[in-house]
Amino acid sequence: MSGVAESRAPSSGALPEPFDGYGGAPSAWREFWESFSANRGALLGLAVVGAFALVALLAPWLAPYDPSAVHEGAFKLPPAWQEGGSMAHVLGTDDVGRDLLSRLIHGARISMGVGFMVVAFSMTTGVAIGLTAGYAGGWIDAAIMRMTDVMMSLPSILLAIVVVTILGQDLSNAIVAVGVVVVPNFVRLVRASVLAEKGKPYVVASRSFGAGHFRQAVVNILPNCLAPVIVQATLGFSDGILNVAALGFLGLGAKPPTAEWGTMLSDGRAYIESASWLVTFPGLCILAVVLAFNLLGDGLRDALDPRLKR
Amino acid sequence: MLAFLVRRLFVVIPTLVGVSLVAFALIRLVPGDPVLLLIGERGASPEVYEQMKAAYGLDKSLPTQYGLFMRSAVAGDLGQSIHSGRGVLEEFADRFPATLELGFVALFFAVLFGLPMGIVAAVKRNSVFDYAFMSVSLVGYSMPIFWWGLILILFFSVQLGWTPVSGRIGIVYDVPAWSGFLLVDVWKAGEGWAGFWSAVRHLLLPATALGTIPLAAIARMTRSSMLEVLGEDYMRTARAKGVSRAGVIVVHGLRNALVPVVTVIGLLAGHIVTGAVLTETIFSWPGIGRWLVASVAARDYPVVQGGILLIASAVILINTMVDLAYAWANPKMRLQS
Repeated sequence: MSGVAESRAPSSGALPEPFDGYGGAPSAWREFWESFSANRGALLGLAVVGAFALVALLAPWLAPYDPSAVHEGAFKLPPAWQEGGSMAHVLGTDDVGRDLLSRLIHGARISMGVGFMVVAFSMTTGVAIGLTAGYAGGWIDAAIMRMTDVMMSLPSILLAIVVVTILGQDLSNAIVAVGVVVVPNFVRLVRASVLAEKGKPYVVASRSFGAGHFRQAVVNILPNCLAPVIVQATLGFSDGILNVAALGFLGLGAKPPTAEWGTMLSDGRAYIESASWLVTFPGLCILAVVLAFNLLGDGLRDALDPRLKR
Repeated sequence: MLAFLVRRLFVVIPTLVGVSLVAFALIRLVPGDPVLLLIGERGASPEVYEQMKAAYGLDKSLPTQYGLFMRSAVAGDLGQSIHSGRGVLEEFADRFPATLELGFVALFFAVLFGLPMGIVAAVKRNSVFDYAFMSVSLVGYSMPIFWWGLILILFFSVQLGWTPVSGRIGIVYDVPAWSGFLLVDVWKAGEGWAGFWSAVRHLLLPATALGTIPLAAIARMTRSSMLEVLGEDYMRTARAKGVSRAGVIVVHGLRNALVPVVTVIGLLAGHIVTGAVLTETIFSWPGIGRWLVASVAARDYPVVQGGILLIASAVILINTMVDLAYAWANPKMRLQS
């Protein structure tokens, strides 16, 4: 980061202006937004994420029907534009006559919620553990790092399957299982940043003023380690949504009547030849959300962390 | 280099012990009694139940059970499957080649397409190719492979009828296991091109599904690594010396750009194992992924703890080899960590 400071110094040989706070320089937020909004992919990602979030919030008002309502005589109705489809069920109906569009809209609610909870769980746990490891150092650090090594060498989906089997099949247990599996990512990230910050002059200065360990770790160091955490949290959303959907697909996620995309996909699999829309649309939704979060995460990384800029 | 190797070993061994502890502990936390599952809730007298429990060593205390597990594991014995009665190692060896074959072909597919895509995208930066290939790899990177597998089946198997839906080879072929790799064994069994082609057709879709995310990762890594190398001074020097543009890119550029790419390929091994669980489920592929999922459901303790230990060891082994290769290629790495 010292390179940035040097490049700001006037090259003409005149004395640098006295430091006057941040008055002259663009605010951090503005600088971030200019860099972020120049990236069209990131803006697209943000727009799609925003759209899905809106759909999730307004699901009960947007959905034409109740997601669990069974429409008699409308089993496996194809989408409106196919032969035999009707405008009453734009994306068709499933094998027991539930409106697919309504189920997908309510599914957005579940998937966005799942992503949020996976990230909230793994981020808070991972940041706390990573901060402890990086700040404490010594044998505590070594022990924590070995534990993350162990977790990262176990195939993630297998670990999640075992955790769900222990806790019982349920959406909330699937969230915990997937959250546990991604904790090591946050631990390593935070630890690495803490190690980089620990020796910096501001930390040493603060210690000389008598700052305690808690103040050093949480108030001084942590805020300076957050940029990569924000990026990882965004990417964690896509990981979380994807893995919980995968568990749903394996029959270990949300229980059947719930309109969860992975579970819907698993149910629709039996009708792949006769009613392919039951497979196509839930998968497209998963792909769109995951892609959008990945785009957003890439854009955030480029904007927040100039060192990683490609 | 030797010092680096020794340091790495000091990390690998505790990790392996940790993996064995986790594998041992996790499966015992799963509710359900394996002996009861085996003999059924009714129909077993308490004496038979106790006898069965003792036969599998499940009547001993947990530390003793772990000690026994580790002692025989070090000697190469991972116990017997409660379900089939066969040795865990034996069952693993039966299925591992199927997963390995699928993984190899998937990785081959990923490199075959991902590498050229990345190179072209970097060389023709900001061209139509660059945007197209990078969009493809971005979509590929976000792909839910359990859905992608189904879409491939829907299109190529159901609508076009080009490829079979599941299994490793047509049922008309009787191929005794020799190496475990069907692409090899068909020749030994004298099935010739017809058998080989059948095995290839069975591999096409699962390998594509499993290889998609690695393909995307390789294409992205190749592009960024190539872009970095293209800006180096030695590239310009080589051009100035009169080497052709293509020659510079292949000889001077690619060779140096490939170091991080090879690392990424090595690290994708772990991903392949994870992806195999889903891919094998979709395509009814008789590999270790499906076997382990079924064993968790059946509470087959020895299989799950042994299988997890074996898979994790394989992943750790591959990652360590990648680290060593990287340290060998890049002396800076040896001094760090």
